[in-house]
Amino acid sequence: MAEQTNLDPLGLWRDMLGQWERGLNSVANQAMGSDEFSRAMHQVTSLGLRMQQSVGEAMEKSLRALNLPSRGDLIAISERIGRIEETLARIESAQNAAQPAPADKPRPARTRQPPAT
Amino acid sequence: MSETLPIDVGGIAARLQEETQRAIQRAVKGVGYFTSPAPAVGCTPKDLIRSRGPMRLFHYRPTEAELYRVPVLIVMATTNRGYILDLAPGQSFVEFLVRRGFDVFMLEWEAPRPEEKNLDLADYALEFVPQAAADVQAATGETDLSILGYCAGGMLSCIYSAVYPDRGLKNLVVFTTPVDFTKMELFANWADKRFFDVDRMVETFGNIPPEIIYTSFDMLRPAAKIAGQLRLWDNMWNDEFVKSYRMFDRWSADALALPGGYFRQVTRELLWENRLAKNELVVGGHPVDLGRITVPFLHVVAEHDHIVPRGATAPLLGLVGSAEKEEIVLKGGHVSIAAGANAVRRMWPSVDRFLARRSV
Repeated sequence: MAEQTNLDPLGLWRDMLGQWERGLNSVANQAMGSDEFSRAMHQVTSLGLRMQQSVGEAMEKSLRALNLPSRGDLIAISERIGRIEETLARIESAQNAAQPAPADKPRPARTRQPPAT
Repeated sequence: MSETLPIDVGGIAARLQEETQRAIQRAVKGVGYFTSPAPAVGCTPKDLIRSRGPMRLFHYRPTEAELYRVPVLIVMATTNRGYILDLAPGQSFVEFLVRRGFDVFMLEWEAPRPEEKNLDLADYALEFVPQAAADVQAATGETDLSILGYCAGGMLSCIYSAVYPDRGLKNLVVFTTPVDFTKMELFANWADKRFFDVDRMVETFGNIPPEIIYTSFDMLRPAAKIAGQLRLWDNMWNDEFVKSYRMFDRWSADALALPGGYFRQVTRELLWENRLAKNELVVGGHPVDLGRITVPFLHVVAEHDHIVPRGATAPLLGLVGSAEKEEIVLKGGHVSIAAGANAVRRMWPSVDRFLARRSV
């Protein structure tokens, strides 16, 4: 008796998608593992970083000229607020520790044993 | 003897009908996909017990009347959110541990603020992890604790355990923890010191933006995004698939910025000089000798991990000094061993078995 063939075009498409994904990842990983890729990637990154630095410096000068706070000034304020928040958290924590634990909710016993194997 | 057709016409017709129904459902549910909110994640009830700089320490509320004596502190990776271990009810490692009777805490991270750009490995491994461990000990009244670290969280846990082996650590479990950075070949190539000016990057950005972290992970599998979108369309009729896709996709895109100091140190001392594998790493003035870890140790690794390849995780078991040490290699990738179907079936019960008898 001849065997029946289950023709499933979408199944084939799904298999092909998996193969395409593996193939492309493999080829791309080989390319990205080369010295040339690394060099090119960092040339582009370096250019971007230089531009960002220049824009940042120009912006800071402009803000200073307009008597406006720069990013650095805001970071300094944020740092001070952060320290105040941490101090408040420490005070709050110390206050909570000084209060007696609520008696209405008993803690679970720490006596559990592993199930017998 | 009767001959049948080589092609199953009835089967093809049924398949065609099924695909037509799915196509209609795809169209209907596809509209819902773009208009519905993302599924909720990190739903296991918890309380924040410490917030300091980028560290957040949470205590998950116990549900069992009787707990194991030794609490568990989970240390999350520095680049990603902790909810990968608490995705949704039934898909949550944290929920699993809580229901198995463990008292669970999680140390996870927020993006560093601009003024925290100088935080480095010493701050993370020898300030925040010890702070969390001390908080767990204070909250439970127990001097012993087990630590469970995921990826870079595993690396921080190992550094802490090697530097402070005498601070009540009872068991150490790590998942997919890199130790030999020469085997993280693509990352090592992208950070090639002949071309990569790490100082310039750190000086320019302060904290390394999450887009750079996310893109570098994405570049490891450049076809995955497009293939993932096509599979999403193909499975749009399947609510469970869509929900799972959205949760994992949200998590992978939810990368955290890294402090410049930490990034610089990892690049120089780990990617360039591979000091952890050579037992030559010095953190905060303390030499990190992994041989000083002597507590029961379990390393769970993924066979097909593209982020931390097998070669990068393999030497850890040999470097750790514990007499009782074990490595489990599971099928799956970097994320699926912690939160996928394989995790539910194999990884979670393995960790439960390892910890249960050592937590009394």
